[in-house]
Amino acid sequence: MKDKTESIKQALLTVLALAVMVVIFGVFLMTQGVNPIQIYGDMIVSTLGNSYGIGQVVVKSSPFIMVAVATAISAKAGLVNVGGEGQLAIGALLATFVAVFVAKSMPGPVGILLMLVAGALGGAVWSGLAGLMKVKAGMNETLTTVIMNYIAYDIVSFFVYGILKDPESFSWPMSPEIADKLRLPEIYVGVSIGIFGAVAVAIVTWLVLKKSACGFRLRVIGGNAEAAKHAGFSVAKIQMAAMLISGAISGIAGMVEIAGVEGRLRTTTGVNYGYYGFLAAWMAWNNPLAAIITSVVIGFLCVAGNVLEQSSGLPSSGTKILMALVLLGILWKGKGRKKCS
Amino acid sequence: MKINKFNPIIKTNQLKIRFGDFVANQNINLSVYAGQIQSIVGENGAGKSTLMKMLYGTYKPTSGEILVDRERVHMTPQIAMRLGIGMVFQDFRIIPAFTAFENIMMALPKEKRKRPKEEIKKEICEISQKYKIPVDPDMLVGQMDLGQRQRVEIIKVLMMGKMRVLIFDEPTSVLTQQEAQEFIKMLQSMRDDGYAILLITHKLHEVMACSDVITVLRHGEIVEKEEKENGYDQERLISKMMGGEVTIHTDYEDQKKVFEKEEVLLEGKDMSIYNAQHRELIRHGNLTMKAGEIIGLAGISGRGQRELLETLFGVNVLKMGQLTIDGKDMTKSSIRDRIEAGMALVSEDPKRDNVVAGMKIYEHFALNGPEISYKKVGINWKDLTDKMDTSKAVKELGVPEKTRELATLSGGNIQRCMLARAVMKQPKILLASYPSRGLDVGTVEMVHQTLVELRNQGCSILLVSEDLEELLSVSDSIVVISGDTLTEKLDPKTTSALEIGDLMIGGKEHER
Amino acid sequence: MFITSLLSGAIQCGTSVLYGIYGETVTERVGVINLGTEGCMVVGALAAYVCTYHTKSPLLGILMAAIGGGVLALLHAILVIGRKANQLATGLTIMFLGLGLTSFLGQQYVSVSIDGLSMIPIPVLSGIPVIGTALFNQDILVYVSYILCPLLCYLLFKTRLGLLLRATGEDEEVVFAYGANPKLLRYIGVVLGGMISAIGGAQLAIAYTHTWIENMTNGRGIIAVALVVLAGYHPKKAMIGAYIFGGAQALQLLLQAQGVHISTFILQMFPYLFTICALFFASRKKVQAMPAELKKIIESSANS
Repeated sequence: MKDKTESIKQALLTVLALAVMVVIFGVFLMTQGVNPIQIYGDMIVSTLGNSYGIGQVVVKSSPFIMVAVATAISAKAGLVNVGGEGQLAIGALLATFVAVFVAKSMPGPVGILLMLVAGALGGAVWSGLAGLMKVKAGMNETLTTVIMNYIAYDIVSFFVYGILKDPESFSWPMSPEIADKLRLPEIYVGVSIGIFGAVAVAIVTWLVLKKSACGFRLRVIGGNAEAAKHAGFSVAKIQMAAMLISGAISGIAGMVEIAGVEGRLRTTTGVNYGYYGFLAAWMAWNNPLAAIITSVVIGFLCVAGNVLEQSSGLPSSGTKILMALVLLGILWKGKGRKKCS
Repeated sequence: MKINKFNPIIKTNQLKIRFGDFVANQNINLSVYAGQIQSIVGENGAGKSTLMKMLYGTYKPTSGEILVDRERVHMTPQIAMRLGIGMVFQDFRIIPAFTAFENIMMALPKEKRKRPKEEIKKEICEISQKYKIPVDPDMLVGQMDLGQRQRVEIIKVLMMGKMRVLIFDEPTSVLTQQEAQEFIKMLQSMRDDGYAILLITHKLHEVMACSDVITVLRHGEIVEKEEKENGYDQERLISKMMGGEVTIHTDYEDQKKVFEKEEVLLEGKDMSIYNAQHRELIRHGNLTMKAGEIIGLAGISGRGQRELLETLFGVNVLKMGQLTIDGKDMTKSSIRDRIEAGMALVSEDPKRDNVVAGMKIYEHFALNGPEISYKKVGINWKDLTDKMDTSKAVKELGVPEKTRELATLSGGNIQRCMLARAVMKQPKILLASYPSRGLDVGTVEMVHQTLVELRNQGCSILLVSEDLEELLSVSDSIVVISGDTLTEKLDPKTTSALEIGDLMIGGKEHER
Repeated sequence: MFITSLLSGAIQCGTSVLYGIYGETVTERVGVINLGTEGCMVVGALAAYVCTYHTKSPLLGILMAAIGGGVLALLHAILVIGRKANQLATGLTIMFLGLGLTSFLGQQYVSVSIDGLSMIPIPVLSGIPVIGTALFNQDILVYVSYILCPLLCYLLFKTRLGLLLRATGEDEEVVFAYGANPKLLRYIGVVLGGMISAIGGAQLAIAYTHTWIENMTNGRGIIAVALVVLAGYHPKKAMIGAYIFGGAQALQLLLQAQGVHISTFILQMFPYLFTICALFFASRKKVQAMPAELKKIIESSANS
């Protein structure tokens, strides 16, 4: 009984914190000379009011879910991996490489599979570097992963402006469009099967963490690395594995962006997705199932941002502010009662 | 100095404090006089520290009152400081990253801070000369040993204001026997200067000689008060402390099984043991552990016990020397290999080394405890909990309900869980640090029994303890960390605590 | 001369990061890590730019930058100190808020050039061959950054406030036991840190580039957080990291100007690669100077 009222109280507090932030943003919008109620109305109607809007939210959420799950895995091993951004980018880059130079003449499914492997590999290499720096030299992974995001961005730009540049694109920095057969099948207009993949990854991860012996070991390391060491676990190996898996998932998210959404690589592909995914994981207290919901919320805010621009002429970066405010609201509210795993 | 019997500095009336349902102290009527050393003795968990923290204002009493100079005071540490009541905490309130001088500076009251540095340093020197507590003001506290840190803490407290009452919480626990004697001398000269001194300790024998009053605390209440002028009744004091159980240390000799042939399980040769700061603590140490043997490891705390055990267990790498386990060279092997070879470690700091936040007790038993079985990809928890339910060690050592979160338990309770887990593993080699720390007399007895039983099954045990009596009663042989060397095995039947103590100190002198 | 322009460029590019390192050093010394330094810097850049643009007074601009960065840092402080929120997540959110706010509010100012601060050669000193112009023909904020180093050292290591601030980062209970308020001290450290960092942003906008570009700090705040480790949490070593970072960036610009055919994107990586190297060397040090309270935070931050 006590538990139930407590959890209701916590949920109400969260809603309250979010409502306050929505009001604050509304006031901010008013100072910019627009009617917040109308804008909020537009945001909801255009995203959730029609199937296209919903589809857009789903499309946006898929990479966030995957990065969030990736972040959660490394967090369970006691690592703060903020490098989803770079891992996604390198994954997307490698997948595009495969699509443009290797898989062109292959049958679709084989090509897609190859892209998937390339994406996973790219992400894993990128996270693996940070992992190596962590376990071999004890370098703080939060800092290295963030810094490597910037490097990844430069690498992607290097190729997109260089050998990957579409010769027909005039001066636009982007890769050629990948072949149609390499695109992921759609379940609805513009919505690929990527979302199923993302949800499946989340569920499998949740099961593994909760039920398997591996998950148990991971949780021991995340809870107290010293205890894991004393229990004979190879902390470095397990952390390294967690980093690699984490990066691979983010890399796959990048591949899905190419094969399922954009069809080609731009310098802007997936920009900020890594951070959104990280924050989604964090909002979900690193629970992969809860991360699905938080990712959808963030996806919703992203899509709603375009509405802001279209209907009021305000910069779309306004949503970043709203998103930051929402996160601050959640941070303000805190985890509440301690959950036992 | 004559004690003024009518004007106590501090007087308490019916002091009581409760934490939730737990009454930590009640019916406390205590008087503290100038020029008097009053010892508050009691077992671990008798409520001594809580009482002192109420006097110092860290805890607020649930009911009752504290009078200072006959006036009622709602104590806080700040008020205590102003009234001249200082406390030397067990876990010193000093910052390792700072120098002694910086630590003292921080504690100084407003009017003192303004003075030039040289003057403050001079005062530090004066105090340290007066009470013979040498301190280097410019040394980083982090580089000092525990005795030096205590001296910094004492000087700091003395300089915090016009002190009249000094409270010491288990001050001798970090000191060598010889240092403890010097410490007692310091207390006496402080008393002669008119300080009122409150001494909390569970080591009655150390304070008998110097105390003017001994107050015994048990289960949070004062159960006995004796004054020096009327003479102490040691037997009575002890029995009051223990609550009637006077038999402290059983002799386990007749319970011990005699092994026909000697089987060497572990052999360390020429081992150099380093601490985290790369300082060599033990040089060219040799240690042989045989099946069916309890070796007591004696030594001043912080002299390499922890590092030795961690090196044997593989937490630290053995850089110099050789280690064979069961005849195999394991010098460079991993913790995992050693666990598989049948080794278990009960750490001296399980909170740091073993406790995983958020995990239940039974989940911890899957970490180097009884053998675990698997169900598909997962751990078979049912099997593990069944084993725990039928385990004798779990029952006898009083492991709390297994679904409780381990991190929320007290230190003593965590310790018994860790020991029970190690016993359930049925190890060939057990390295146990302070397995009886923080436990009541009955459970300590149980711990000893358990160790002896394990020994009789052929396990080889290395037991670390601060309590020499405990080591002497349980062990088959004793090894002493003497300075930076490990002694040969000594026979507890023919060696006295005093001799061991001498070895512990002798080494230290030698090193200097 | 190549060396002079490299050195000069290194100082100009590096000064913004230097302020970031100073600021974050103060913050981390009280036991708080603020990844939002990036946000504070970018807000400082826009605030200084807009204020200077409208008032023509760079001094007011710097003041506004400090206030803006201070407010953002205060938000971080309220959440992590007052509400005990996860420091890394809060810092990232603050960074996000700063980037979002500035790109929203600064859109109309993008790529409009201003006069801002100009070079003030110091007589005599600027005449020293090779290093003279590099070190002593700079803008006022560069000179301030020279002086800020001993000032911060004095504040942190010679004053009582500094002693208490550092003690808060080591063991807040000890500070509390002496009747000081560790929470207040933390607030002071974090807000002061944010203000100093934001001045770095101001230098970037009104002294170095004389313009405003969205997201113009481009990771400098994060890099500053990393270089604090290299500096061993001490202001006196902050310049090493900052100027090597600046040097890497200046080298890139110089090479480009000389028409060297290396992709700009490769050159752009240099500063980041250098930062990674710096972290590597910092990790090799035997004595880690990380404040004890901060260590606790970092070690427990993955799952809290």
